[in-house]
Amino acid sequence: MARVLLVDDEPLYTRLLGKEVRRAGHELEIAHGGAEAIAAGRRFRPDILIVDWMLHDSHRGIDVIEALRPSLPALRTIVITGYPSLELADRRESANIVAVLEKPVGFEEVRAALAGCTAHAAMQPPPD
Amino acid sequence: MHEHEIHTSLRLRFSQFAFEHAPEAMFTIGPDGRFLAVNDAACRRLEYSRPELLRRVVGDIDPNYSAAAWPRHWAELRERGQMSFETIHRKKSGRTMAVEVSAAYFEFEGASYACSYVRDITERKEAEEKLRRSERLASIGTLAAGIAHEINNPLGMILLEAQDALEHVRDPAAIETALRGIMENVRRCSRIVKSVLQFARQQPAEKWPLDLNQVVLGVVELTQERARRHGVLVRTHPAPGLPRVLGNVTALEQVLVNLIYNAVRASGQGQAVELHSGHGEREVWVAVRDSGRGMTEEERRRAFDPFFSTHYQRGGTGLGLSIAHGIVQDHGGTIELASQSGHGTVATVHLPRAAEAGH
Repeated sequence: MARVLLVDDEPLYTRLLGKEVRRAGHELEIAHGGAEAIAAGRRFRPDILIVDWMLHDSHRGIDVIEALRPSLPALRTIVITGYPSLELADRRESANIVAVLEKPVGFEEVRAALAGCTAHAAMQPPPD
Repeated sequence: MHEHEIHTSLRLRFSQFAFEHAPEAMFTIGPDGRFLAVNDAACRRLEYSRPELLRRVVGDIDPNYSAAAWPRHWAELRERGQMSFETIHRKKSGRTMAVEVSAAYFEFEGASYACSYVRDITERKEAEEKLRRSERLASIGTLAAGIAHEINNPLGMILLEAQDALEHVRDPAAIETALRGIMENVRRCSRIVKSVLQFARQQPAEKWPLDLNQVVLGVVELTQERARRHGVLVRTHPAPGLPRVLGNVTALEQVLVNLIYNAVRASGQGQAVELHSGHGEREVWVAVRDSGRGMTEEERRRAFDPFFSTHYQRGGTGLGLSIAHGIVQDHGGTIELASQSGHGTVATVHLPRAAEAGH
């Protein structure tokens, strides 16, 4: 079981994807914007971050990742996007983005990405 | 006396030499449009020999200054003394170049002349066109990314709702929730498609001289009902004696409706949205002022970006101000946003005054 922070502007997304995260046996926290996500991340200290790349407030997905990573070096990130931009491809490695899911995203893709994240974690040495 | 004459003749030769060798084309022109003197650069650029060029009139090299139109242009130059303009010059080979002309009228010993100095700006024009094209391509890229994001988002919700419904086929309440969600997101997709089409259809609109105050009054009538529902009053303060602008009523109405709705959305219950108009020497303006929450610097900077919106959750597509910006630009004007967080926003549309009749 992992701690998962799910970030999207759309409450409908977070409700339905959140259900899938819980069903996979993870502990879930939801945020509906970048600022809220950063605050929640610092409090909740997730193992896995699922974040929309293009958030509608002044923070973007990458801002959330970069704000949280210094205090959570082992954070694994799944990015969900409606448009996989060049910037996303460029930042993928440096931001430790494990999976990029292109919308429309179904339950099974989220399930697979989460499984990938936990497998990925098992192969990584634990952080100091 | 003798020394003075030598000096004068030297000076004359020097002036002549400077004229001949000036790096840009120079012409002296008579009232009939005939070239009286031309320098080396003029001959070289236009590919004529000097005698050939001296047999020609302005209309032979500039299609915008044909013999029929020449008297009118000459009279205008005489009246104004000096003029600068851009036009096209045709070389002997038929090729054309974009030029910038500075012309001055003068009288010498009872006769009238014009002296004009002509710069070849073909390269600058091509660079400008290239820049415009690359900007257009960049904005198409931004637009495509925005469309992908905005459409894929509701599509994703539709997919999840459908999957969720399938998992609850025996639960009518869950299915109803899912179907309502699907309907809402289908409507959202169609709203976005409609806005994109409108955005893409932006083309030069037909324009007539019009009174901006009349447009404002018409628009306020259109928006009053929606404003009332928000508990917001829309008030107008039209400036008297407003000069006319050259505009398209429908397009300008669309701009103002947009600005008013934005202002209404930003306002709290009981606040007012104020519309002022006014004019300067060259422009006419309309300002839409609210005393609502204002914009952050980030919001102000991104306000005209396609798909940037602060009210997505309430049905905004983020294209309103982009479309408004396109329309105002097509009218040769600008939209200016002044705002302070917590102190409201003023959106001002500046449009050039229509030329007075006779010009």
